[in-house]
This record gives sequence, structure tokens and C-alpha cells, in this order.
Amino acid sequence: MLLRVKFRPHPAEDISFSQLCICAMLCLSDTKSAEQATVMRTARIIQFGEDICHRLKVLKGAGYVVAKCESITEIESWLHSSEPPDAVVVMDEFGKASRDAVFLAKGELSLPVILFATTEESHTDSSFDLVIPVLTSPETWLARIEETITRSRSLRGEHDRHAQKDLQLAGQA
Amino acid sequence: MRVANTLLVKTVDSIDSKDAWETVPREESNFGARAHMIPVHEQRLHNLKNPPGEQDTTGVPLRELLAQAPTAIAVLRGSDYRFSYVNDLYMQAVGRTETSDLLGRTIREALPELEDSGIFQLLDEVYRTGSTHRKCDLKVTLPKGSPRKSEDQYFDFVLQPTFDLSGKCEGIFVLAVDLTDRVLSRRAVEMSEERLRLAQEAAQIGTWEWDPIEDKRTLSAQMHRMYGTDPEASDQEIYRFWSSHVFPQDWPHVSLAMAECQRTGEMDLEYRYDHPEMSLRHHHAKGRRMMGTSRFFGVVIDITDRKWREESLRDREREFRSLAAIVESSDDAIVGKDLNGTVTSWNPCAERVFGYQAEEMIGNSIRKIIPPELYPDEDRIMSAVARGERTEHFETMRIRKDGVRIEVSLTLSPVFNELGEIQGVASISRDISQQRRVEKALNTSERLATVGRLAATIAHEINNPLEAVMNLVYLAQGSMTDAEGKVFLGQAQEELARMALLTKQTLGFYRENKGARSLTLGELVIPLVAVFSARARNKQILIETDIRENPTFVGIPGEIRQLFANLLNNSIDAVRDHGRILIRVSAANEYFGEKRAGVRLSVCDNGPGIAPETRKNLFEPFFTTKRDVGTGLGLWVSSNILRKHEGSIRVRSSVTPGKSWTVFSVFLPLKSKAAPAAPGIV
Repeated sequence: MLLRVKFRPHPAEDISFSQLCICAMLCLSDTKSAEQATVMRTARIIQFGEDICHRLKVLKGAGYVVAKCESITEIESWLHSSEPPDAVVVMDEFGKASRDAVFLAKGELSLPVILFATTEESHTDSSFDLVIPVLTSPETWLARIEETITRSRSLRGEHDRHAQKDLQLAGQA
Repeated sequence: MRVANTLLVKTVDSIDSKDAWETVPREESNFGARAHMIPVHEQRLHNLKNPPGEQDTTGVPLRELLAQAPTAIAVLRGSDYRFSYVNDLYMQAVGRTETSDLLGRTIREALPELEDSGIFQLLDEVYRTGSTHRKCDLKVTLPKGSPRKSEDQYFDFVLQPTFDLSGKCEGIFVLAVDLTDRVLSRRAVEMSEERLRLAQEAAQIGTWEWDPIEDKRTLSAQMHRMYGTDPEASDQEIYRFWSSHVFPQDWPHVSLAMAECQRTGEMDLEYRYDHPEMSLRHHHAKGRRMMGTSRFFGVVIDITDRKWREESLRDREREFRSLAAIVESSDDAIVGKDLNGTVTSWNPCAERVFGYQAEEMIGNSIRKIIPPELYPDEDRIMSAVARGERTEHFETMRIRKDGVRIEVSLTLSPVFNELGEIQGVASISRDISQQRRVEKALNTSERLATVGRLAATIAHEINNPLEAVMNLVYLAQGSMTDAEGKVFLGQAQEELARMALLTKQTLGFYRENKGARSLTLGELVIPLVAVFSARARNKQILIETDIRENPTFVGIPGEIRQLFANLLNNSIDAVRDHGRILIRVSAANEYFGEKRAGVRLSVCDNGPGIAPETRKNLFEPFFTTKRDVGTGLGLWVSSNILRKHEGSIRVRSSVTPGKSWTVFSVFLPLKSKAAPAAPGIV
């Protein structure tokens, strides 16, 4: 666990070769925490946009349930399903990520929206909860998605608890 | 007719014959004297006596009277006109000294020089007709002076026939008055007057007389022409005409001056005159009272041309001052030079552009500011201008006083003198060095933008398949059960990571999207050396890393990584097979300036070295020594990164065969204002 902390890429810089190799080895090893393993097993992701870099397979390989949507209507139906997704992944084809998908996901369920960027400019797009820069290694972006979903679930859990408390307080009142 | 004088001549034989005496009135001669010639019956004048009844009041014999007469007198006898008497004045008139030269000889023998004068024909006429003949201002060419020289002389001649008792003409009494001096004087006066008249006419000077008491004026012909007045008109008509044509605005001071001059006796005024035919003229009247009279005499000079010239001169002076002001304040260097290239004028802008003061250049050769290799061009251009050939403006090089060469845009124009001859050349120079720098920067900027767009397109096209491969290899590695296969896929991932990094560095014009943070060079150098290790292995290059100190400094990791990658990449390219590269990181102070504390990264290699002429261009964009593979942007980008981090870079190199080496030494301060977050380096 210490090794992992030590060599995990710094959020402010790109991964170097050596770090990349070490991270790859660690990611492929069976040292994942129980919590993260749970995340991967249970997380559902909607992917919007053409997947020309085979990320969908990587996500599935990591244990995510991934649904590919080709229209806003499909996303909307997923958002209203009995088992809503944990995140929306947008493929930034030529830098034209669908804003509608972002607004929809954030508006309906406050889901984290993750962008796979294809240009340097989209790195700084604040509409997204997570932007994966171009040529980021799969180990790195998988880890970041995992973190994002975990954090999102945690926040939503807290939100739900607060909401329940609010309801109880309202009932008592 | 009034008889002023009477000359009586009587022959000895007829001395008692009163009838023989007659008085013949003679018209007034040229000089106003009156003489009356009497027919003479005597042939021998030496016997001349006073006529009967007349008293010799002087007591002087008539012969002596003739001898002392103020006229030249000769008596010719016979049809061949033989001299029987001549007086001294006659001798002088004909240029003879001895009476024997004349007496007893015919006039044709004695005075052959009169052949073409017409005298002989006149004598014949007088002898034949018996009538007196007078000839005024007859020009005769006679010898005169010592040595004798033929000169034109002028005489009033009277040729009076003499008769014998039978009334037959037997000779001619010749009376000649030498008028030469008077004629010449008169002609000189006439010539002088004519010259004066012509001069007055040419100079447009008219003369006038004015008697204010009688209110009467007399104008010269030229004066009438100048006033456009009729000489035949009355004085009052002329005055009215003149006064009505004086320019109305000038009339008050004209009339005042006329009144004033009667008090002072002097007149001096200028006024404009509306000439009926020559439009507006300028007159200058000057005169004064004649001594002892009330009359004024003066001249009027037409000074119109002078006024025009003065006005024209004033206009030219104004124009010249205006031009001079333009030249003085011009933002172009304006230089005058003669055809030998000697500077004749040097405006303030020329002082600013070339650094020489006017006094340093005027009188010296223009070559002072011309590069020696351009002397032939200058000579050729000056010759062309001197021949009157037109030269288009051109761009050339000049040398400032401080030795710096500047690019100038030059225009040469011939300068003409009053005769229309080319006497020099005016050159207008504009320093276009700044313009050239801007153009170069713009050009560079455009090229960079083009390259940037191209690189972005290529990067995008490469990124997607590269990332796809990265993902697929990742998936393959996960599903690979064979140990050796896993190793191979690991190596593939290693190469892919290197490709990804190189793509970012070379094609992506890497834009760091994260801000500056504390970091060490060591943490960047070691992984990068690993990335480049494959290339180094291929060339069997030994890369040694010596991290002596590894101080923490503030910087943008991605940019510092790119800076180091550029240096290391260049060294690997430069070093031959089996070469060496030493990378050293140490704490240091900067060499110059504030000597700030920082960290120094040195990349040394034993490659062939960089020639001095190449070294000075190393950090220029698009400058590359790797023609086939280099973009020429690596060191330029590196220098920009350093500027952003307030760092510096130093290059030392040796090209000595067998001992060649190169060191790029980068200094980064521990603290800098480097790069807040966000902005990229391109």
C-alpha cells in the first residue's frame, strides 16, 4: 500500500515511464482494496460518443457495466431506469462533446460526467467532473474514474442521509 | 540776312576797280560763324592788299590775315587746280609740313589721298558751273600726326570760284573749317544720348520735370510709355490720366509725397500704377528741386520686375523655410551630397539614424556610413544619378557610428542648380531594421502558427490510434497468461509510453495545464533518461547522470521536462556512436546579474561541437542543423521555457578535431515568478 501511494502519479503531472510501469504492475496485481473492487464490480457507466480508442473494452475489462448510448434519448432512458448509472463517460470526438449529455446527466441525477479529451484545450473544461487528457495510460485513467465514482457515491450517500434527516425533521415538526 | 563778317579779296591788277568787289552772303556754317565770300579776280595772292577806300584798321596785310584766319584756306588756279596759296591751317588740315609739298602742284598730285573723297568732283563742278559750292561735315581721310596715320577728318567746305576780268573762271578759293573735334564730340554726345535713351528704355526709366508753381510737367518719351499717356495731349490731360491710374490705395501717400516734396525739395516714393495696357506696375519716383528754381527734375523707374522678383524671392524663401522645416523635422534621414560623394547637408534625423552629428559629416565623404563592400554599388548609382538617370528606391545596408549595420530604404534624387545642371544628390534614408525585425517576427509567427496547426492535426491523427493501441495492449496484457508474452507486452507498453511522451513533446507543442509547483530536477531527469535509453542503446551511447545536489525549486514540471528532453535529444543526435553524454545537476548561483541561488543542469557531450557561426543562431525558431529530422523549434521552445522561469541557458562548445565537445548549461532560480497556472509555452 505504501508503494502504491509513493508511485501513484501526481495529479499535477503526467505519468512518466517508470511510474507508468510500476503503476501498471500494481494495477494488475491483486492488491486492490476491497472498496475499489466493489466499485468496479457494481458500477454502471453510460458511454456517449464513438469509442475509437477501445476504452469501452478496458472499462468492461476492469469490471464496469458499460452501456453505450448513441443518442440523448437513450441516455435519458438510462437515467430514468430502475438502475441508474454511476457515471457518464463522454468521448470528445474532435473536441465537440455533447453539452446536452452533460446537462442531462448533471441535471437529473447529479452524476459525475467524465470526458476523454482529444485536444489540449478541452483539458480545462470545467463542465466535467473529470477530464482524462490524451495519451493517458489506461491504468491512470481507470484509477481516476474509480476515484471519481467512489467520491460521487460517497457524496450522494451523504446527500441522501441529509435528505432523510431533513424529512425526519420535517415529519417531527 | 545779317552780315557778320566780310572778307575782301582783291587782285593787284584790279585794285582800283571798285566793281570788282562784291559781297556775297554766306549761310551760317555748322558752328554758327558767318562768312561772305567775294569773287576774286587776282591770281597772285601774295600781292593781296586792302581794297580801295577800306582802311586797314589792323595794320596787317590781307595776306597775313588769311594766314592767321581760323580756317584752312587754299587758292587753286587753273583747270588743273594747282595750289597758289595755302595757309598754315590748311597745311595742318591736309597733314603737310612744307608748303612746297603743295604750292605749284595740282591738287591731284599734292593730295592724292583725296581721290575717293569726292572733292575732285566737287572742284570740277564748281569750275564748270562757276557757282559756289558748300559742303558740310564732309569726311576726308587725311594723314595726321607723327608718325603719320590716316584719320577721318570732318570739314565744312566752301569752294568759291575765282574769275578773271573777262569773267572766266580761272581758279577756286577753298575755305575749309576743320570740324573734326566738334563732329566727333557731337557724335559722342549723340551716341551718349542714344545710349542713355536706350538704357532708360531698357531700364524702364522715364525722366520728368515738374514745376509746381506753374503746375507744368514735361515727360520723356519713355515716361509717356510708362504711363500710357499721349505725348501730344495737354499737360492737364496727362496729369488727370496719370492721377486716375495711380492705384487708389496708394493715392493718399502719393499726393502726400508730392505736397511734402515742395517743402523738402526731395521726392522719393513708390506706388502702384494701373497701366492701361500692361496691367498693374510698380513705379519708383525719385527727384529733387533744381538749384535756384522751383522746378523739380527726376526719374521714374518701373520696378515691377524687381517687385515680382522680390515677391518671388520671398515666396521661395518661405517655401525654402517650409522645406527646411520639413527636412529638419523629418523622420527620414535626409542627406545632401555633391557628385563626389561629399556630404553637404545632414538633417537631425540623419544624426539619430546614423549616430553622426552634422559637423562630423558635412564636408566628409558619405562612404563613412557605407560598408566597404558596397562602395562599387555606391559609385555606380552616383554615376547613374549624375548622368540624370532615374533611380528607384532600394534597400541597402549602412553603418552607424557605433559600427552597427542597419538596413535602410534609400531614395536618391538629383539636385539641380539654377542652370538646370545636376550639382549633387539628395538621399532619403529610412531605417527599416525595426521593420525587418517585425517582418521577420511576423514571418516566424506565421510559420509557427502554420507549424502549430499542422502539428495539432498530425498529433490528433496520431493520438487516437496510439491511445487505441495503448488500451489494446493493456487489455492484451490482462488476458495474457504466457509469461514471456507478458514481458513482450510490457516492453510494448514501454515503447508506447515513450511514443506518447515524444508525441507530446514534438508534435503537441506541449501545453502544461497545471501550474508551477516545487520540484527537483532529479525527479525529472532520471525517468527521462530512462525514456531515452533505448535510443542511446541503439547508438551505444553512454549516458551518465551525476546528481550532486538536488535543490527544490519552483517550476512547471511538464515544461522543465520538455526543456531537458530537448537538450538530451539534441545531444543523442549529435553524439556519434560510442559517444558519451554526462548529465549533471547541482546547486549553483547564476553567473551574471543578481547571482541568484538556483539549480544548474548541464548536459555535456563529446559530439563534434557547434561552430561559432552556428551557435549564435541556435535559439532562433526554425534554425536546425538536423535538416532531415529537426523542426528547428526545440531550443527556441526551450529558451522560451527558461525565459518564463526566469532562468538562463549557456552554450559552450569546441570543434577542435579529436577534442570536440558541447555543454548546454541551464540555470533555474530557486524562486521565480514562473508561470502561474494555465498558459502554455506556445
